[in-house]
Amino acid sequence: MITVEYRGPLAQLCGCRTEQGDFTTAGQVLRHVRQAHGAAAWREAKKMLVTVDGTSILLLRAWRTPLEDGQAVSFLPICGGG
Amino acid sequence: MNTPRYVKVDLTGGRVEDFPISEAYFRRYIGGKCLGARLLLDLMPKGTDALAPESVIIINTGPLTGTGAPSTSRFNMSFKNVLTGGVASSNCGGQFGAMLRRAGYEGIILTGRAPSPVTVEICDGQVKLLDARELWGMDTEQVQQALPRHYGKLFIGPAGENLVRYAGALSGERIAGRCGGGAVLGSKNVKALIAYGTKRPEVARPERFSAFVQKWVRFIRSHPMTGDSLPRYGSAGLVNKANASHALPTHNFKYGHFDRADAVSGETLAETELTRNSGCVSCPIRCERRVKVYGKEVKGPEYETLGFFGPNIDADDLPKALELNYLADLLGMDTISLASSIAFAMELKERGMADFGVEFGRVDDLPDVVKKIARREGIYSDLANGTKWLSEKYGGQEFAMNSKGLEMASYEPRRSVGMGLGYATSNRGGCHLNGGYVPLLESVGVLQMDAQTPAAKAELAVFMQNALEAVSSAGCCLFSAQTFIPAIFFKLGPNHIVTRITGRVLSLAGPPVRLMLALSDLLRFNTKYILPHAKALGLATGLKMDTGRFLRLGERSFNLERLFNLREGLTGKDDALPGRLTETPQVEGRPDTVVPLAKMLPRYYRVRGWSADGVPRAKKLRRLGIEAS
Repeated sequence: MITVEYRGPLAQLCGCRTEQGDFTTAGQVLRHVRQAHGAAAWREAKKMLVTVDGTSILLLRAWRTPLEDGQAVSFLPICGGG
Repeated sequence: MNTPRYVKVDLTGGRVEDFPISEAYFRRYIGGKCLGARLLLDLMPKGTDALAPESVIIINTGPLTGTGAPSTSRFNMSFKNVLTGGVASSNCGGQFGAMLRRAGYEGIILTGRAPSPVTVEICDGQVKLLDARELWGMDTEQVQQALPRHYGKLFIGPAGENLVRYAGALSGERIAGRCGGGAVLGSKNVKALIAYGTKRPEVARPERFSAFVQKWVRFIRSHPMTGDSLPRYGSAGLVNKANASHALPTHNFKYGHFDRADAVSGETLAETELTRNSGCVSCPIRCERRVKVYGKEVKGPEYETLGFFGPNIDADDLPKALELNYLADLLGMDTISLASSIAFAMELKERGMADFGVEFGRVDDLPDVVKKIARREGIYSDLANGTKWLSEKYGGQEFAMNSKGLEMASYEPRRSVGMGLGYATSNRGGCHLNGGYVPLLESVGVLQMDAQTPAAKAELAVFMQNALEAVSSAGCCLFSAQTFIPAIFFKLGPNHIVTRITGRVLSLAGPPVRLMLALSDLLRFNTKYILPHAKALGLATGLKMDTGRFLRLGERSFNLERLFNLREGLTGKDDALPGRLTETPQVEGRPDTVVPLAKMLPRYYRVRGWSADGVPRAKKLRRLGIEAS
């Protein structure tokens, strides 16, 4: 079971902060967002920073990053500062 | 041409005299930290101790300060760095900068030491020294309440009075924290400067300036970074981003990833502690967090503070981090150097080298520790001297996380090697901003170039260092420059193929960026998309200003600071990092997770036009129009 966490505006678009499901890749989670929560949520989700257990999928295999039981996928807003 | 009006105050004898800035100096050095560095070179006697009466501190503004241009409430303090012995510039927002200009001055130069505590009052072109004995000992809230309400105020807390080497000075609730400017004021018996006036800062071309400012404000508000992300999360939003890239200092920079980082993240702060956001005068970004501590609404923490009072000491207690941030402001200390000194003490304890009663993961007693440091009480007086001093006394230089003596900011450079180069070459020491803030392109921004490769890092560090120097010199907040990454990348997101390819391509950008730096005189255009500050500066001053001249201003400033460091005995050997970062891979078995400083530094010197020892060549200084002091 994978835990999916939505942060920022995405949580409002999805109507929930977390949910669980069986996914095998990060890309599958994104597809789930579209199917379960609609196109607006999907558009927001795909431009966010996506992490698996806190590590950016950009350091892994991007949307093809494999998921294992018990892992958490988070959608985080892009931020700035310094 | 209206040149800036400066006043020089000899605190020892109480003498006040106007200090004329020539037109030539104004044209070349403009204001803020660039003019500050020039004046510091001219006025500070070589080899003077930062806290000696003869030392000089210049508190000045840029031509855009207080004009109504976006994010221009900034003022600058230039002085000898208490932690490094080299140059220091420190700036912040609040009301003081704008009020100093309304009071009729663009800058004030303090030298000497008052026989007893004073407040320097600048009111409608008149400067007076007022008795401040009754203010001495007050914390920053008390002193602010005791000073006249409608004045712009710059003041120190107990830490500055007690010469804590990383004491800062506050303007409202904003702090010019870095490098020990509060200690310099404390050493001069200056508790506060207050400014009030009715003179609006003049601009050379008011109608065009006003029209451009409106356009600029609209642009800032429409950009996803400055119009949405920073107002919503502040810089605190970077905690999870840096953690996701394994660039979040953890356990005194031993690691770059903390499993419980989300507990102290900007998102969690926004969801659980934020009462509202706020901002400085004339700033459309409004990045400030407002939170409740001890039942009252106060300024919330920046990213650096959350990172350092969180993962870097193995802590995930957000309310405690807010409390520590508040106490550091209340007592007048830089949270980066303070928290980094505490983390270093924790590692000393872990290794059995010294015991200050602090240990990783334990935060309950840290408020008391912070108070004792500010008061320089007992052994905690050692912690008030910073990590370099501590490592010289107790050992552990390889894990004393500073460069030149100034503690590094909250970016783990083994996963952001351009930041490593920036920390090493930053004139004021381990500073991410003076270091060029390359992590925006490597590890925490929407564009992510290869964070491990040295390719293009020297060129990008030089370009960004120059750009940020110029923005500061103009009197603007650096956040106003965060619009230079095109909005389209935020709309596409970091995972989009176009964004990823652009990030990759940046690693090949070295030669073109170097060419652009060499030929910057040819960049005779202004655009709101890259550095809109240039056009605003030109309209405000009446000087010819374009992107190329603006970058040249930044380069001049950076070289002036370098000259000050060299004069005071720092050399290329001080462009260094602790062994932990250059010798020990962050990830065991991955030798690329170190900072390849030895590879990047020679290239950086060449791009800068410096000798192999890191000394600016005469040809470079001539080209920049820098005269010998």
